[in-house]
Amino acid sequence: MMKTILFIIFTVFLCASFVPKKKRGLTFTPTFQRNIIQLDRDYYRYEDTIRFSSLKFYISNIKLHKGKSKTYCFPKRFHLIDLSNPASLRILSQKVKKSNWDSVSFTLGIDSITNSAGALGGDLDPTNGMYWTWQSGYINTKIEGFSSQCPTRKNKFQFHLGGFTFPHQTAQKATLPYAEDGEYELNFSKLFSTINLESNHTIMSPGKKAVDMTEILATCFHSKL
Amino acid sequence: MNKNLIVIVVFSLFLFAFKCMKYDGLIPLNFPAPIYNFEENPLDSNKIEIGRTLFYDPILSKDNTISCSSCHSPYNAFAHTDHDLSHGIYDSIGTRNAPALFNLAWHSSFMWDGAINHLDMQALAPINHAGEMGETTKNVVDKLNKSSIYPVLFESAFGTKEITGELMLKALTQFQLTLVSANSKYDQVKSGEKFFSSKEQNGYKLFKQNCNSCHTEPLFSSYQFANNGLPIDSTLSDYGRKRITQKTEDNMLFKIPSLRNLSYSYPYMHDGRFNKLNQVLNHYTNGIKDSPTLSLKLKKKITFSSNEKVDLIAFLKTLDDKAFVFNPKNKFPRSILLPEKD
Repeated sequence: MMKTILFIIFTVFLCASFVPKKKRGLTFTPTFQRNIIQLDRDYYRYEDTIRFSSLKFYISNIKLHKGKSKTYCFPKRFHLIDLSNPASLRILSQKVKKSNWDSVSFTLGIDSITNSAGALGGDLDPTNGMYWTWQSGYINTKIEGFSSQCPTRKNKFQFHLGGFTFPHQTAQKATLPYAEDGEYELNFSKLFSTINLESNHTIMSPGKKAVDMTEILATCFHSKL
Repeated sequence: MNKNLIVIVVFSLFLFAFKCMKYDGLIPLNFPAPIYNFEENPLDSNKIEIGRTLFYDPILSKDNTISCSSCHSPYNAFAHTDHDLSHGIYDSIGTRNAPALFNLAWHSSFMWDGAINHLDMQALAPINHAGEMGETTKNVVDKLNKSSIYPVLFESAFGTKEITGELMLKALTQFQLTLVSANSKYDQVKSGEKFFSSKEQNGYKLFKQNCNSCHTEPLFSSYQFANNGLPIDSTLSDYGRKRITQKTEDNMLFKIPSLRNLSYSYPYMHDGRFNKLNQVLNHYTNGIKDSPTLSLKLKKKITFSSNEKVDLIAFLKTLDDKAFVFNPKNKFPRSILLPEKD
């Protein structure tokens, strides 16, 4: 009898240790008009009809903070978030404990050392289309689409935001209050409300325009309500 | 048992020594420390061989017509002799002269305007340029993965059949790092094997007085940027480094090229405007156009007598490295790209 009980207890513990730990992490959802953006769908605004064809950005160096002393760094440093690949929106780590974190900090973009480090793989592989070829450097954020306001061929807007050298560094640090569910949105309605697409529709190289736009974009992260 | 162990140890040591010997000379004794970090991409004979194959393979271009060697030929010290501007896909003509390739581990930037900050990333520029190879990085990698030769080669060198952009670029870098030119007559004079003629000796003296501050020994370039007083070619309107930095002080600055292998790599200058060394010297004595960004070293007029020009050119020719230019290790890998059928 005793033996049987011990065996049952042992088996239960054994099974428990094989049950995968629940992965926790953060989700960065690009939204427009309060909903997750759907590529190639028309959104109607007062000033135009707008459509997104490609939306990609790098999030790096994610850290969770509690008080001044406790910090958890996500082991994978660079994450390419690509709206056409829904799995990429969720950044998971088994080690994130459900502790009462105060805040999360991260960088929107790639730091200058990594920009000068030569060929890298994974999310940083140049086949991802997020590395400029005519000059060195990562495109930190790529926003492409169409708006009836753009006086360009096929009404296209293209924002390739990058640059890592002084004085036009585009990597932006952001800190947000920790959301219990780890859900964050990147509110593109807010960004686009600051852009006059009639005159500002094409940014393809580093410079002040790219810095200005990424500075605004970095303020468009919110914990999801 | 012990005997076997000894055999294995001796064999490994032998292999190790062989490997070291093989790459002996890639960092010449008289050169400064290289800028490329070899630890991040340690040289390996299989990886070098893949790099060499990629370098000569037109698979890197959109319609499989243009390879790196189309504009960087081994017999021209990996430049494109007789072509002032580079040629590309669909008979496109570029805007700059294809530079010679050697001693690349000592360059801190690449291209005439320094647009590229790392040797690994340089190949992305010609591959993706509409007028050079007209491809996309992703498409090239897809083609390599589907090819009959590359997955096998990558597996033996990198331990994986899955070719990525990173691995392709690192392999190309490996081959390019082996393109070391350090066996010219100048180098042999420096190591005591040969002697300069009196003309060459006088030319060397003139070189040190007038040229060495930018074309610094032993690489014969500081690999910095300078405006060397060329009047602008209005058909190209190329303002050099300014395009990259967007700074007015970089207007008309171009990367200073090495003076090694000049006999093989004409025409000269970023737009290949001079065919003869004489024309180059005449530019420095009589053709300098003053401008706010002109190199301070050229503000004072340089004068050479006609005899001095002859001597200086005699010296410059001692920088030709025939052993490098005709090194069979750098040539087209016929056995891989064009294997003979039984």
